[in-house]
Amino acid sequence: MALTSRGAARVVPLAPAVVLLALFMLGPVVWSFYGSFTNASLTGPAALNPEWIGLDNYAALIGDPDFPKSLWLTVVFVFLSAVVGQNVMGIMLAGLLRSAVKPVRSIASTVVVAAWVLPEIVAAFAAYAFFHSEGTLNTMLGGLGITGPDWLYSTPMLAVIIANIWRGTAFSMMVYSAALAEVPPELTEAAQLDGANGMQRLAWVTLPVIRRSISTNLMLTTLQTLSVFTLIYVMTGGGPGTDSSTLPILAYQEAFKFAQVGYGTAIATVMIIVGAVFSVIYIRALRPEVD
Amino acid sequence: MSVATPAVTPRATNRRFSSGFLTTVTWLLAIGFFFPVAWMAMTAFKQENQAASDPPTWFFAPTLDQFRAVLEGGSMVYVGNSVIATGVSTVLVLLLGVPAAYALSIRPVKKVSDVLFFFISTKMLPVVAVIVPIYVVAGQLKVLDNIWTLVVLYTAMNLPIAVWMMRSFFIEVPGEVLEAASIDGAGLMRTMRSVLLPMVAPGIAATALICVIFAWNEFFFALNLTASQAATVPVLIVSTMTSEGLFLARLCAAALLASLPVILAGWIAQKQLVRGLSMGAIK
Repeated sequence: MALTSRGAARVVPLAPAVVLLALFMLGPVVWSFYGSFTNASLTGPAALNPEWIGLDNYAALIGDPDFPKSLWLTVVFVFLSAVVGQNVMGIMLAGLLRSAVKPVRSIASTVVVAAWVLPEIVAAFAAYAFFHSEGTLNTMLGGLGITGPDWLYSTPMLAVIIANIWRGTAFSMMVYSAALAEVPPELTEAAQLDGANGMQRLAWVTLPVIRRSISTNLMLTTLQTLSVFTLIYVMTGGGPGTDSSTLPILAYQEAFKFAQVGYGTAIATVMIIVGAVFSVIYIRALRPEVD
Repeated sequence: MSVATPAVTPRATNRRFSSGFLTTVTWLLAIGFFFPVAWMAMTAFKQENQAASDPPTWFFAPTLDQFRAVLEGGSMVYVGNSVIATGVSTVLVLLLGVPAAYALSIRPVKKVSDVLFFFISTKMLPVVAVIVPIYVVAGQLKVLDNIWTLVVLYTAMNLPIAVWMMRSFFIEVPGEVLEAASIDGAGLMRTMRSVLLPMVAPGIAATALICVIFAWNEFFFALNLTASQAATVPVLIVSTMTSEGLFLARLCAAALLASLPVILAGWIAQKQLVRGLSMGAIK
């Protein structure tokens, strides 16, 4: 009796939160997974009574030339803007800020954090205004006598990758600042006495010590970047053609523009699988649980 | 001795040089990050023809015309919706999240890591994957374009990160403090109210500010689930884009006004925010 009431005391505070999340976040995902095996659509007879069509949506995906391209663009976008861009830039900024004098440190970190707290739609417009053919970047290049290309048309992926690095680096910077502050100074000092230079100290002392933070942060930034929609949609609309249509853009267009809900949810399912694959790789490669 | 002395000097110079170099790099990066925001802020004070000029107008008489136009154009409905969606969802997140974070930290339930993983995994789900079912079900329940739909969704959206952050503050409360309270005969509610909550209050405040920032900024649900009645400020920004004529300066003014609350919140809470978010990630 006492045991059950204690068990209840522990579960009761959690229950409302878990139920709410299950209902409004996991529920839709389960619905979406089920939907990917049907011919559900937004309009027409299939909207009310979708039929089970097995793996037809997935078979159609494999046959659709847009899909492998979109999958590839997504991997490129995640790898370059999150794994490389935000993490390397984040750790670099965190290191720089540690060695900077106090006023520089507080101003610089405030500025980087400001880019991160901006509403997503505002950040997306700011990036659009920066990169479009008569935008700020080309205006400045024009001042130097260089005629810049229409970045969003000729190099859409490069533009959205840089924009996502700009927007997201602050989070990595915050995580790595906290992680670096926890590295015992004796360790790096000892390595320094043993004659290790700056790069060697980073590679053999600092990075191994903070690898748990690296693993967690890689996972968070990857999953975050995998679901980026507004930034790309506002900047390029997934275009020109489908040249910057990552999986979220493709799934959204299929489901809402072309009303193919079943097909769109199949793409969304693939998206969740891609995220899971990335996560497993990080957990295996960096073994955060071993200390 | 004579060998050691010259070896010291270049190294010291080298260090001074590299620290100057690093400071410069830090400044350049900070300026790079700030530039698009500064440009937007400057454009908001221009007239439309100045905003569209090429080469850009650097010197101009600043005007508040664009802000006036934004504020006069019926924008109060959007602001009101944003305030409701942000305020109510943040209160709900705290009401649901504080007990959950408490249960996961001070007297851990079994399999804490599994529960935590469940929380975080829902935060990391791509919104595009959940929007279709939510749209269809909301349509059937006739709650599209209803501000309370956004309130519920924002609560669910912010709950995982709030629990995650608050747990990192709760686990720092020393167990002895709580034992002392219980030895003194304080019950659970009493301990909560007069010992625990005051200690974690700064953390809860930072969490609340994060929730305010995320809810105020949320665009994707608002765009897809609202029309005229329940549209929020981010949707207003999009609607300042017109198909004809110049709109850049007005867009920038709207964007600047929409960003002010979150920039202010981020600035006030920066220290707690950095701590809360990153401790959640490393502990």
